[in-house]
Amino acid sequence: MVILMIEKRKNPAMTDSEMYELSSIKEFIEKERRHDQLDRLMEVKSQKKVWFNIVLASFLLNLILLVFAIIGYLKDVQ
Amino acid sequence: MFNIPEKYVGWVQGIFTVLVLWGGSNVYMSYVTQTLEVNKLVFAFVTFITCSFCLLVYAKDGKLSKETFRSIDTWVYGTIMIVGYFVALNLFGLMSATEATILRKISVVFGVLVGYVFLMRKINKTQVLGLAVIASGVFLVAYNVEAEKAFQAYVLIFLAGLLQTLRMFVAEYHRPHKKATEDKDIKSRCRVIGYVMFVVSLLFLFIITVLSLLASSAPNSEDLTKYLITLDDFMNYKTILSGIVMGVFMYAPLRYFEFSVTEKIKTENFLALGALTFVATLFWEWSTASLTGLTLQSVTTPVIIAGILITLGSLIMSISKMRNVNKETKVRKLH
Repeated sequence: MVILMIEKRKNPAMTDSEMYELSSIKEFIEKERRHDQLDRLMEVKSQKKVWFNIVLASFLLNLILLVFAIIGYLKDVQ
Repeated sequence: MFNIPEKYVGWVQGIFTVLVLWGGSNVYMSYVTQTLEVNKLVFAFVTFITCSFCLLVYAKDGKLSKETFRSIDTWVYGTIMIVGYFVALNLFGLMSATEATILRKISVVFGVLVGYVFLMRKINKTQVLGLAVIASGVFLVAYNVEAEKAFQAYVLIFLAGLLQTLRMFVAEYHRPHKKATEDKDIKSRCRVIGYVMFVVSLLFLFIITVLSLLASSAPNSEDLTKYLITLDDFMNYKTILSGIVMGVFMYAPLRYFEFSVTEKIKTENFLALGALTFVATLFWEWSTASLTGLTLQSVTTPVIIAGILITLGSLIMSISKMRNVNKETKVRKLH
C-alpha cells in the first residue's frame, strides 16, 4: 500500500514584500520545504545581498571622498 | 506644520520641484562651475555617487536589484545620463544659468522630432506650434551668444540634443527601468535609478582615471591633463563638498520628486509646471547674485523674450498633451 505524504502547512505562502521584511531570511530558508516558496526566498536573499553590497560600496566611496576633502582642506589651511 | 489636503500634495510637490529644485540647481551649477571653478569631471562623479547612495538607502532592498545591475541597458543608459550631465555642466559654466536653461530646451525639440520619426509617436498641429515657439526662443538666444563662446556653445547644444535623443531610445528599451515604471512604486524607481547612477559613476571614474594616466605619460602632457583629472582634484574640498551638496540636497530629491509628482499628478501636468523653469532660474539667479557672484549682464532683452517664448511654447505643448489624454480617456470610457 502506498501512502502519499502530502505536506501541508497552516500558514499561507508569504508575499514578496513580506519576504523582504524578514530579518533572518536564512532561518526561513533552512525551515522551508515547499520548493516554490524556497525559490522565492532564495531570490529575495540574492536581491538583498546585491543591495547591501552596493550600498556598502557606495558608502565607502563617499567616506573616501570625504576624507580626501578633509585632507585637502587641512592642506589649504596650512 | 502644514496640513495639505491629499489631492493637492502632488501639485505642491511639483511646484516645489520646478521652482526650488530645478531653478535652484541650475543656478548652483553655474555657481560651482563659474565662481568656485571646480573640476567638472570630479564634481559630476561626486554628485552621482552621493545621489546614488541616498536613493538606495531611501529605497531599501527589493526587487530589480540583480536585473538592473546585470543589464547592458543600464550601463548604456547610465553612460548617456552622466555624459549629458557633464555637457550641461559645461553649458552652465559657459554662460548665465538663465541662458543655459533656455538653450537646453533644444532637447525638447530633438526629443519630439526623433519620437515622431523613429518611435512612431504622433504630433498634432498644436504641438507643432508649441515646438516652433520653443525653437524660435532657443535660436534667439543661440544667435545672441557672445562670438568667442559661440562655437563651444553650439557644440554643447547639439550634444545636449543628441544625448537626450539617445536617452529616449535607451529608456524605451531599458528593461529594469520599464518594469519599475510599470510598477508605479516610487521606491522601485528610486532603487533602479540609484543602481544606474552607481554603476555609471564607477564606469566614469574608471574611464577618466585611465585617460588621465595615459595623458600624463604622453608628450606635452601638461596640455592634456588640464582637461582631465589628477589626485589634487580629488583633494579639492570645494569640488567634493559642492558635489555632495548637489547630490544630497538637489539631485536625489529631484529624482524622488520627479517620480512622486508624475505618479500623483500625471506627466502632462508636471510638464506644464516645468514650463516655469525659466522664471524660476531667472528668479534664483537674480536673488542670489550677491552671494554667488554671478553676473546678470548677459541676461538682455532678447534673452527675456526668448524665455517668454520658451515658457509659452512649453505651455502650448502641455495643454495639447492634456487635451489628448482627456480625449483618450473619454474614448476609453465610451468603449
